Amino acid sequence: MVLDLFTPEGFFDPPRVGFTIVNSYSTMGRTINTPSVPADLIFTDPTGPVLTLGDLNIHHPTADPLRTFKQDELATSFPSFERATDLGYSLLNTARVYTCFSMSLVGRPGVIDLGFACPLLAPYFSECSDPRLSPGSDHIPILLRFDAPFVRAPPPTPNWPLTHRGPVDTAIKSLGIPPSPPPTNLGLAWDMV
Amino acid sequence: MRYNQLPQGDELVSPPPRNPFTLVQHNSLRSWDVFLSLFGSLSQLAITPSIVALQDPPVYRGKLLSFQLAQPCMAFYVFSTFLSTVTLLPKLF
Repeated sequence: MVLDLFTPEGFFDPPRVGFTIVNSYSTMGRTINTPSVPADLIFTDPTGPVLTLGDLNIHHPTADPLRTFKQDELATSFPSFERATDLGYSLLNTARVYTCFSMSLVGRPGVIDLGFACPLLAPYFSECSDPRLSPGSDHIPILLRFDAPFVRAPPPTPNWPLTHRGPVDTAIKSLGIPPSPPPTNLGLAWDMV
Repeated sequence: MRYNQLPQGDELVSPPPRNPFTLVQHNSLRSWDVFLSLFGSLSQLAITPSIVALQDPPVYRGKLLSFQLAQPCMAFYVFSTFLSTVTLLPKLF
């Protein structure tokens, strides 16, 4: 699922007013080495700031360098990481900080809830942290923080409680709306504008 | 301040500085317990996240609340204050 955000002031890159977040949940596809969400779908050539995140269910040495990997884990994860690297995406997770703790006795913890930032977004990345929330899932909530999301601060506005509005209110109350021209003269009235 | 004068000094107020953009992602295992616990614990954070990106969100009768598509695997929840400052366009793939 993709969420495009727009704001007139721009989020990260002044000429670009948009910001894209790609949220994906990938499970095992038709075969054990095929993720249900292909890498070329979640890692697209960025034309603006793009944040790709989700539970990708893949194990890769970049995210968990000390893990002993199975061949099928590497076969599943390398296409996604290769695609991300080719397009310049940066992994935001802190290596070796587990995001999933299996509740089965045979499962091992892993770093599978991943976040990637495209080159236009990566300079604004601040931190990826575990906010120490325990909602009861075997996954850990991940908090991603970006600095300077809005390049320009909003301009100051008049402090209306301190504003002397007396003359304005009087002027507004005395403002008379002229009568509208009769329908036959409407074209003439428009010509005079 | 006169109505025909530009405001100066105390007559101007600057809006509070905007917080850094923060986002939380989580796999909620299609569980309402996890969902409610997650959003309940978000209040403990110093900064409320602008967006919560969920994988495997809980559903009611196969649908997200206020959402008419069947059985979603992902969902975004946007903080209401943040929602007032941006335009959103969700897309499905």
